[in-house]
Amino acid sequence: MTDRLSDLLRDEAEAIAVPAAPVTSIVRSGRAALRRRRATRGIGVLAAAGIVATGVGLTVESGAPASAAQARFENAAAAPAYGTYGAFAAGRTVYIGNHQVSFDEAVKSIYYTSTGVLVRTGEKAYLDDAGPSHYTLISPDGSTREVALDMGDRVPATDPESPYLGYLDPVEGDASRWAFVVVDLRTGDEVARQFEHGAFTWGGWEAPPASLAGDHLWGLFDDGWHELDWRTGATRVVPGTAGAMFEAAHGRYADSTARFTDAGPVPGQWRVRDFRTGAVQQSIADPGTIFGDLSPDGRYVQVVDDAWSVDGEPTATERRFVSVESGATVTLPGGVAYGWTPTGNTLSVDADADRITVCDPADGTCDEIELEIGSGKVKLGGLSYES
Amino acid sequence: MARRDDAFSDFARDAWPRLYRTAYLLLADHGHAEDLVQTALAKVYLHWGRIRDADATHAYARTVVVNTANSWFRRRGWNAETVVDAVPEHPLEPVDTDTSLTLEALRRLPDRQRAVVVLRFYEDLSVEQTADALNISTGTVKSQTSHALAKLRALLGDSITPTLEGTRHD
Repeated sequence: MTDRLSDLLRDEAEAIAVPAAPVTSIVRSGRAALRRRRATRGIGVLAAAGIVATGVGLTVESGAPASAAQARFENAAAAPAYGTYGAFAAGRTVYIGNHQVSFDEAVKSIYYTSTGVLVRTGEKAYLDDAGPSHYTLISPDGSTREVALDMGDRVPATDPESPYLGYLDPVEGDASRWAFVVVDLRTGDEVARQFEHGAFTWGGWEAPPASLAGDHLWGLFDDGWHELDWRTGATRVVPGTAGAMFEAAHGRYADSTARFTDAGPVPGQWRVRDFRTGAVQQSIADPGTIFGDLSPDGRYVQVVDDAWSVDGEPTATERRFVSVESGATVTLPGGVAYGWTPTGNTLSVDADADRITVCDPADGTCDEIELEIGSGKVKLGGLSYES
Repeated sequence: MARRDDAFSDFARDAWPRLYRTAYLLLADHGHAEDLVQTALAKVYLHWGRIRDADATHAYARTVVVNTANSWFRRRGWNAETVVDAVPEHPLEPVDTDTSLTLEALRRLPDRQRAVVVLRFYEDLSVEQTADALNISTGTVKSQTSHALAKLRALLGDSITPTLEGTRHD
């Protein structure tokens, strides 16, 4: 019987020489990953399942600042409501403005572009499954078009002001060679593919994660951000970005001078910098426990304090949002997952209450919008959900 | 943070041997196995504190190992030099003295078939659990198991796996 195979495998496995567990190295890698990866999986809690969707009836809650919210809806009607709250998904349904689009697969991630949202779907809602993923572009008018992409376990980049998607592609047979790829989502055509060399060992993805803005595509390698001007073909390693964390949007990237040591975190500054000049555009005190999440338009930073209590619970009770331009800070309640609209407003979804909340991080004012929301895992626009 | 790290370190130390053996069976290479388990445990670290139950943590870590291995398998050209799809005409002879016949036979399976065999017959997962871990259908698990066992029989002899019917792995 196959029990014999099981016995043989167990005997063989027991005979395997197992090296000592490099626990210190693992913990160090884990800490580095905490610092370098986007905190999207750790940002707040995912909203729970709600009620089965029956339509998208947008109304203004009576207690909300009606004039502001109404103005947003009027603007939304003119340039459909994509600009109202961006997009989010509940289960297999994506809500984009006044439209909803249902998929046969679970929604993995939602990427903002100037031509609508690109939705990544697959069998499971999380991204690090065995694939395959499928991609659909939903225009602000609710029309859809499949986009033929086969990116596997890679981290693509979009920008809310660009119709392009960029990603990096490993080159077969050469672990240090990568293709920088740019796709025009309006046509589905690949408009650039340029090969570059670089070492990538720090992340668990198939290729370095990417960021895109304008004519530039960046990939985060071991020695820092590599930049490609895909119009001219010019490349460079962005100076001073060795060891940078994976946090970038709209031509800005983040780094931190805080460090982890075996004795604990050493405080420093979490900084937003300009890819082009390297100039520090904003600094936020970092006790060594914060994550920053740049808005898709690069104008705001969501500051997540990832301090943990000894029993493993996050200790932060509020969420800070910092203007990159002015440094002004507003505070919103913690315990809520905040995504983004394409224009840098915060987006949160309470599926149980059939309510979405959009807040302006410039002044903290919020609109509450009633919306029948279906069941399933909520995915918010503007968050990568990469893991 | 220190308390959190201490608890995680204890877990990692405890989980390492089993995860390493699974990784070695999946990858057939000590260096790759060590890299895989280190990578997987670093991922577990990211989620540490959100998983309360110790058994669930072990299962989660194993899932991360399998998912990460799957990700590596999807890389074009991964392990191509060791995978032999065609069934050889003659029973296997060890290619070197350090590799047992069973491990050598396992090495000669395609990645997904090897993963199915390891999960089902070493980790003792059900068809459904294996399908979930590999993110494939139960039908694929069964067909891959059937193909894998046929190759193992050809490589190691019929006595290794005379039949699937009626076994607890079905």
